[in-house]
Amino acid sequence: MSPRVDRRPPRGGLPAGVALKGVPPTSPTLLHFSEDPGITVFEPRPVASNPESEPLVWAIDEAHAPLYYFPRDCPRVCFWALPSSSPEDVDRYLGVTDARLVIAIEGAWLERVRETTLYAYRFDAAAGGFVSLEDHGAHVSRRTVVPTSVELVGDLLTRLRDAGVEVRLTPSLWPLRAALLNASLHYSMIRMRNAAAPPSEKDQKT
Amino acid sequence: MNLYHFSEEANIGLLEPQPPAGNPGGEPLIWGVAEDRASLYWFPRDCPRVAYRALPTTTPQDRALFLGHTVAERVIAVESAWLDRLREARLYAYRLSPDGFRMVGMDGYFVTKQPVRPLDVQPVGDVLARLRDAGVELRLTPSLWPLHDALLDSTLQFAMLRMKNAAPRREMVPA
Repeated sequence: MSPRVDRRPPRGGLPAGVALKGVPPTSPTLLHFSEDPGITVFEPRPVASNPESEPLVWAIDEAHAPLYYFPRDCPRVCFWALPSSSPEDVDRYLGVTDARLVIAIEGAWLERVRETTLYAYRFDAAAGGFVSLEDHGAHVSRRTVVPTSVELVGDLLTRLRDAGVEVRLTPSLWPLRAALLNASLHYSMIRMRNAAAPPSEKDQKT
Repeated sequence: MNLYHFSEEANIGLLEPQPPAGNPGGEPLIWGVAEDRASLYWFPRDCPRVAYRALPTTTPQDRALFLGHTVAERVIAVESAWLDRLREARLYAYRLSPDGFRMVGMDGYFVTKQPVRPLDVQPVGDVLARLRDAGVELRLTPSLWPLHDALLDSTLQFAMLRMKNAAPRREMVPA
C-alpha cells in the first residue's frame, strides 16, 4: 500500500502569509457555524488553536455543512468515500450503511449535542471574497465579511438525520480514528484534543 | 437471575399471557429477557432495529470488520426516522422472577404461560442516555437494510427486530 498523502491543511489553520490560489467558491453562498447569535461582522483572524496562523474568515459549503452541526468543541470523527477510495475500503466502512457520510461522536457528548443552540451565518461567497481551498468544502477570505443572514440550526440530531448522515454515539472515538488513518476514505477528525483518553491496553478487546 | 419485560404501560400489576403480535390465534405467552439482552428492548415496541455483538465462535475477521472500530461490545442501529419517537418513548422495565419461565432458544429469551406478578417496575428513562450509559454504540442511520444484509452472512450474534416496520430498501440505481 502506498503511503497516504494527506492533502488537508496543517492543523491549526494556514501558515501566516500563505498564498491562496484563487480557486472560485464551490457554491454561491457559504456558511459559518457559531454558538454566538450576535455576530454582525466577521473579521479575519487566526484560528483559535494557532495564534501564528494567517488571519482569515473561514466558511464551509452547503454540501459539507453537516460536519459542523455540532457543538464547536465536540470531538467527532467523520468519514466518506472519495473517487480515489479503494472498493475494499468503501465496502468495509460504508457497506453497512446507505449514508454517504458517517459521523461518530462520544456518547458522553449526547447532552451537549441536544442542548447546544447553533447558528448558521450565511455569506455571499463572491461579495465576501472567498476562495475555495479545494479541501472538502472549506473556504477562506482575507476580507472583513458581513453575513447576509443568520439562521437557527435547530435540533442538531434532527438536522443530521435530515441530511442523511449516519450518526454513531459510541463510547470512544479512538478505535475508529486508528482504523481510518490507514484507510483510503476521506476523514475529518475534529476537536480530538477534547476526546476522552484512549482506552488503555487492558481495556482493549483482544 | 431476574428476567425483564418491557412495556409502554406504566402500571401493570399482573402480566397476563398474550398471543403473539400479528398472530391472534397463537399461544398466549409472557416473554421475558435476560438482563444482558435488556438494552435491545429500551426502544418503542414497533421500532425497527438491528443489534449485534460477538460470540466466542465469531471469526476474527468478522470481529475486526464489525467491531474493530469500536470499544462497544454491542452495536444497535435504528432508523434515524425514529429519532423523535426514541426521544419521546416512555418505557417501563418490569423485573420478573424466573420461576415458571422456560428458556426459548439460546439467546436469553424466556416464556411462561402463567400470569406473572412483577417484582418491581422502573422507568427506562431517556433511551439515548440509557444506551450510552450501558456502553452501547447507537447508530442513527437512514436505512437498516445494508447492515441487516451484511450481518446475515456473518458469524456475529445478531437480532433484527420489527423489520416489517423498516423503511423499504433503497431502490437499486441502474448502472
